[in-house]
Amino acid sequence: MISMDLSGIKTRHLYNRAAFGLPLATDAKGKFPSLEKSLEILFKDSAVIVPIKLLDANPMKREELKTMTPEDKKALRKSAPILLKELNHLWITKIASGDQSLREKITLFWANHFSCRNGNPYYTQELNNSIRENALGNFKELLKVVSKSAAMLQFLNNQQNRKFKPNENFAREVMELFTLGRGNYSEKDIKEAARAFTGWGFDDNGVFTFRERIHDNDSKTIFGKTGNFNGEEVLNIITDRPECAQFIAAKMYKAFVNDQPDPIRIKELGQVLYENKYDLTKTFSYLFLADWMYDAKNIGCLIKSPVELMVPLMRDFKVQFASDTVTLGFQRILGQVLFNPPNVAGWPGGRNWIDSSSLAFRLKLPSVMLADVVEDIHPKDEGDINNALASGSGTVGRSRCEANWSTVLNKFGTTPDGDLFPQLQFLLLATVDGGPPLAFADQFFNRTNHDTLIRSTILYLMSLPEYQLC
Amino acid sequence: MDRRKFISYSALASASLLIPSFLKKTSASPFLRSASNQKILVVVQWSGGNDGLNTLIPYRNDEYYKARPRIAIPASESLKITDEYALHPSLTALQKLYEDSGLTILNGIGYPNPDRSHFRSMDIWQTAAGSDQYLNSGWIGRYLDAECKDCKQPYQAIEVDDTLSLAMKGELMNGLAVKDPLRLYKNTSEKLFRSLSDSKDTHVEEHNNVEYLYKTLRETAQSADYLYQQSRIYKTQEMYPNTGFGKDLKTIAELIIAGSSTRIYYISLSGFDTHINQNNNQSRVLGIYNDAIGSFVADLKKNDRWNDVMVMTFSEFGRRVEQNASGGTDHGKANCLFIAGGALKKPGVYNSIPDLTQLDQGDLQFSIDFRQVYATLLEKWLDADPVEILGEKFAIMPWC
Repeated sequence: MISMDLSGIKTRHLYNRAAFGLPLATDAKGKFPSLEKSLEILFKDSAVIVPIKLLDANPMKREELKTMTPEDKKALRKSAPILLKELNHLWITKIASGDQSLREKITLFWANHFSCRNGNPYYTQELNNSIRENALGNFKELLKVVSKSAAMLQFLNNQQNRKFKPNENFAREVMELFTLGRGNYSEKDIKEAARAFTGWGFDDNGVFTFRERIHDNDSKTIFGKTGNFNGEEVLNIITDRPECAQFIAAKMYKAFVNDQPDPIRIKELGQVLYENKYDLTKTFSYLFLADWMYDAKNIGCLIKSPVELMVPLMRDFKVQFASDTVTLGFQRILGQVLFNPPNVAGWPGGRNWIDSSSLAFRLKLPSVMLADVVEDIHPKDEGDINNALASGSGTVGRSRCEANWSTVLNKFGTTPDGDLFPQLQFLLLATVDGGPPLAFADQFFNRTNHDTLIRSTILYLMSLPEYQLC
Repeated sequence: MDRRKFISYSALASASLLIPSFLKKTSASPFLRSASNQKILVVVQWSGGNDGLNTLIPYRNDEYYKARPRIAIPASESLKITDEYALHPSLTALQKLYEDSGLTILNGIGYPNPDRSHFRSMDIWQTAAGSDQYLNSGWIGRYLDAECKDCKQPYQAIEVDDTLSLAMKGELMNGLAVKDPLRLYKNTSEKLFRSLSDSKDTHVEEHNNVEYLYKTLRETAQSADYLYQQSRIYKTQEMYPNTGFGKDLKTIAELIIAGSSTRIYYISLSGFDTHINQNNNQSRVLGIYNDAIGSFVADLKKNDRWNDVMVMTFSEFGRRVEQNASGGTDHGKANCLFIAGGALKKPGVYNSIPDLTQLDQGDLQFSIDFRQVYATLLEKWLDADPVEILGEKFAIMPWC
């Protein structure tokens, strides 16, 4: 391990958790600014909100569909998955641009918290942009915006939630997964809340509409409060409960600190969220600057999600893909396709990313993406992988990604051979001990020249199980 | 979590693990026996909550048609198997299986205090927990813990998928997720992969997740070799439908026929959450199931292995008796469950569907705890101790 001062390890940890890791071109030997300063830089970089913009309007308007010929309708329906694929590509490349990385990281977190799948690319785009806009704002507003989005209302069947014929799906998921968690509400609370959400819908432009005609105007009793509540009031009643802040804090802790919950810290974080009236910038700042965030047990302990694994590779090597299908292919194989979570509970994360076969592919991912010099480690196999993985719309493989090594080779061009391993080890591995010792690593280095040494060291380090952690 | 229950469960589990393996009821591990006629369990998970009432249709029951004016399946279209019941029109291969005494249908399957959330109910099914219990291990994983302690590789239970379900994760052992044995083998044949999997104790004291990754790596290398060899032994001549589910069942059939030592296969099919436009959606997905099962059964019969295989098909809950306003059904409670196999002791419709006039908040009431089904399969089919694995005693049923 390089004799890195503590500030280096802390900064690296901050970047692993609040962003997608330190860029590989970071000066590992330089002096790191204070954590406060680093976090300030991250926030400043994320002050601007840049939406993903594929569509200006809903291409699948019900009104227009009515007057279309069957052929046009069919063509339009077929184009929807293609547009979703493009949207997926837009988002992952946006994350990989390295711009507003804090905002993107937290958008990804909320997008999984408010897990949603919708076949309409416009609704999907709008929900994603709403989440991004409010990711660092206020949770209450975020909840409201998400709950009133066309994508979510449709996903959870609230268009079908009518007076006298309530559909409870929406109310249930709002309480179970978005705000309170199981055990903090009763079946009766759900039934009553569902009545309050009757009439919540959206129009052809994906704009929220309140359809008074089918709204249940009678009195409801939710958490012991009785009144003629509407949907907004129910959301307020829910967020007024400290259990909501606790539930959100527990999810934040699990995603940003450690997947082994620490009830004392979660309680503390939940109180911060609640006392700051759900202000997310304040709460995330508190979290990222808390002493305990940097306890040894929390460093390098989280298993990267597939997106967290792919993004630094794409970013640091400006990887170009042959088509949108390739980025999608990687996501499919790794088990995390953006905009396509397994269900309304989202990706469970942590060890759930890891099973025998997914780990095998994850270890190989860097070699596949940055393929042109992998022969030292994985000879001749990229072509086979290309074939083996070519199924459905997901094709990946050597000829399909082009990595640009020049920035990295320049950056380390003058680094003495002996310093390369410790510096790259520091930059690439998140664990405190930094993986197997040099004596083991050395057999995988190609010492033909300085460039081959840089390349082989990087690929070796990225192929270690330790690289799977952040 | 009910802490007391959890602790008593853990104590039970760990006490049983302290018994030396030579004192356990069978002296030879079932995994060491010849694999050629070994009994095999295939678990099919229908994700999303299949509507049981439109799957096993009570076609003479007026209540059924009254509750579902829009989506009830007319008697004339359904596949009659008894005087009272018919199968969904998509399930032609199951009808044939039924006529050949290869199908047992259990009704009223569920558990006390049912949960209508997909997430939680599937969790309950996969962990075999009570609805007031939270377990971090699955029932098949615990079967591996109990019966396969000396196994070094996870391939005794295989999930044909890219990721491993909680059902397959034990306290000590995990099953193996493998979609394609060849792809897994290729990915694990590299020098670095092999060197790392051989470097046993380099950093055991590191964070748990590092250890977990290294352990997984070692197990993967060993399993990949084994399964790749097995997958090359037999290539089926049977035509399987060109669906993901069809391909997965084909992989399973090839491994079974090759004589692999895998005892349990797990496979999922989703698309059953039919809140809207149920009839089209359910017909499509049941059709995918039916066509693949038809090929699977034919393949195993030709190769004389159908008598060694039991296929259990379940879903996390049934659906509401009454249709909703969108031509669909909402989440419900009790459901039917299918057991298919060549060696069933009691083929047929095992018990009546729950009374449609005695509903629990609009849902069918359960009469058989799903853990009775697990217990029966564990004891009668897999020669395992269900109390050790399920942590509680459940009545064994006579169909197996």
